[in-house]
Amino acid sequence: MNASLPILEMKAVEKSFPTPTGPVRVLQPTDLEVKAGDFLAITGPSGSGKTTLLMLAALLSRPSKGAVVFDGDDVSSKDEAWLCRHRKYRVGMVFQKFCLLPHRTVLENVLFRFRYLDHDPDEARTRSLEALRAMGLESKVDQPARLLSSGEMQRVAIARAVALPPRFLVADEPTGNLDRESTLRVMDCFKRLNAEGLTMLLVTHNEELLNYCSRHLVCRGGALQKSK
Amino acid sequence: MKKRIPILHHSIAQPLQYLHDLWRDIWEGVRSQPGRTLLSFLAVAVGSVSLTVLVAVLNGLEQRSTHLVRELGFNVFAVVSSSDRRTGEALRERDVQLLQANCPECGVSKVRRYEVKPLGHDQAVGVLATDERLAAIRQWTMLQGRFLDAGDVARRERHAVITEAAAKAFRWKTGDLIALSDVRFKVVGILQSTDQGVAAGSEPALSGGRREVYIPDTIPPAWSAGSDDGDRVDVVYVRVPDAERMNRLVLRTQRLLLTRKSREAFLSWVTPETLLGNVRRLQRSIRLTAGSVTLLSLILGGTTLMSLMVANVKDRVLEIGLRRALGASRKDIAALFVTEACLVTSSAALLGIAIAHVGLLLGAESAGLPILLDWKSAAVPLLAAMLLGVLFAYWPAGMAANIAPAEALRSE
Ligand SMILES: Nc1ncnc2c1ncn2[C@@H]1O[C@H](COP(=O)(O)OP(=O)(O)OP(=O)(O)O)[C@@H](O)[C@H]1O
Ligand SMILES: [Mg+2]
Repeated sequence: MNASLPILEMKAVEKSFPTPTGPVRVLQPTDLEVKAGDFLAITGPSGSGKTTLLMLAALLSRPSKGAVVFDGDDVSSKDEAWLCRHRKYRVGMVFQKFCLLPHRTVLENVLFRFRYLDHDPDEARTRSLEALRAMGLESKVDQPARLLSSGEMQRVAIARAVALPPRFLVADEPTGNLDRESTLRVMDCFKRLNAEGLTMLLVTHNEELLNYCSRHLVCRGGALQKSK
Repeated sequence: MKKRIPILHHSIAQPLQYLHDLWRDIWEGVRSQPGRTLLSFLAVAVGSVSLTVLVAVLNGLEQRSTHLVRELGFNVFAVVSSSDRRTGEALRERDVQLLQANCPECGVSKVRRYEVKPLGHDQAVGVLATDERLAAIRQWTMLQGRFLDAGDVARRERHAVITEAAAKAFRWKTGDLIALSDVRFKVVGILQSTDQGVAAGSEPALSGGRREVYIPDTIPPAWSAGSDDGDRVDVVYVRVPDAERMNRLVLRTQRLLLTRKSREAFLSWVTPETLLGNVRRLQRSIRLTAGSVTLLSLILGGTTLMSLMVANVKDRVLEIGLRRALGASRKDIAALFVTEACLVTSSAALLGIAIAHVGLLLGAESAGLPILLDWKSAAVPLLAAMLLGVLFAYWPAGMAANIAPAEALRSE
């Protein structure tokens, strides 16, 4: 694997949203290059457009202007089917709002990662339990997700994302609700996966975590800047 | 070099897994909107009950009409004379000859009817004096033996052909000698019954399924006191060569026989059309009344279903976003909601169909309606319910499919 090959490139990407008072530009023209094997951190004040940027990076939305290039393919030239395929196997995201199915158990929530994949149920189960163990949730496997604490919910969401690791994982404040011990556990997991070839893009408010990362950018007012 | 994601292998458990996933997905929707789900379930169930009843009754009426026509015989019409004892007016032998001479393309047969008590029995039997052509004209089949033949009629053989019902009631067999009043007849054949009483209440002179004995009309009726009865005719059956000529020949026979105004009083024509008239009228009014009730309740079910699906989609925006993020296509999302709607409607339909079938099996007799339960009375409501599901879930499902994943994942 060539480590210098970019897995994700953003070229003059802009994102605006229509509002009742006219379109609002949330992302200013932004360039970003994430190389395969990178562990990139983005910090920045609330409302600066980090989640918006991650949605673009995770192929969950399309830019208003500019180009998002994933693995050499310009996303704007690709159709729905291509996006679906990539979301299944290549890009994953840990959502800021967890997005758990509240009535299903912890294990079922993690198994949901495999819902749209051709998979062997036994292997999916093994992988899901493994991911939950890595998050320290082995005792909560059969508990309905709605009864979890928010820190636990956050770890279930992470377990779901890493049960079948994609090539490129985008994590939106994955440790925002976690205590120190759990935070380190999660970061160790990410670090290990990164060493195994996973490319990471992490948004965080926790300066301490920057030690884990190979690169650090700051998002301010919808634009990315080098730190310091 | 691109790193390959481990491809997981298929296993035998796949279809089971698929059904399990589907069930879980649908349950997600049902539990998010239990009230609305129940409401649309009930509305569709009620609609399916009435649709099942509608189909069963229309089926039954259709069956009754084919029975009626079969009983008379295809392409057959009858001239029925209700002879008037006071005036002595009746259809006579010469009328039949007139018909035969003027309608050479038709088969014509005549019947004279008596009520006779067979010796040793309390119940009367209908004795029908006729010619050898009757069975062929009315397309009867024999259960045993043969019908009267030309020889029987010419030689005044005391031969009799009995109906299945008469054979059962009086325990008569072919070869038996039966005594009608004090005249003995030999049973030469048994007619297969054309009908199981479906047409009960229709034209009495025409009904099959009765206890009847057919004898050559050349035999003097020893049981009949009135001697001028000899050339009276009660019914003339006319078989036309094809259905198109039916109306023309009915008109021609009317012109031939209704020579005097007074004859209209006791002569009537029974054609497939007059037989079916009542049934058709009943069919039309049932289709209109029960049909509109059914349609209304199904539309009501459909609209509650649609509101259920819209609420469901709104409730599950975050879940839709998650599914899309995990690789579900627009089609997958739309299929999820359409399947859910179809499952609600078809399970409601199954319940409604079951209730209607049980109810009809128990209560159809007393309602006095002809009912026919067959595959159609189950398949039509089920298909209608599924169609309803697809139709009314189509728009909400499209709405769900068009939700942008990034927006969905931001929603609370
Ligand atoms: N669909 C939308 N329509 C209108 N405005 C939007 C939409 N999505 C995001 N925004 C706006 O874009 C801005 C950036 O939002 P975003 O969620 O990316 O910020 P963030 O950096 O992730 O903030 P936080 O750290 O609080 O999560 C916000 O002001 C938000 O209101
Ligand atoms: Mg955010």
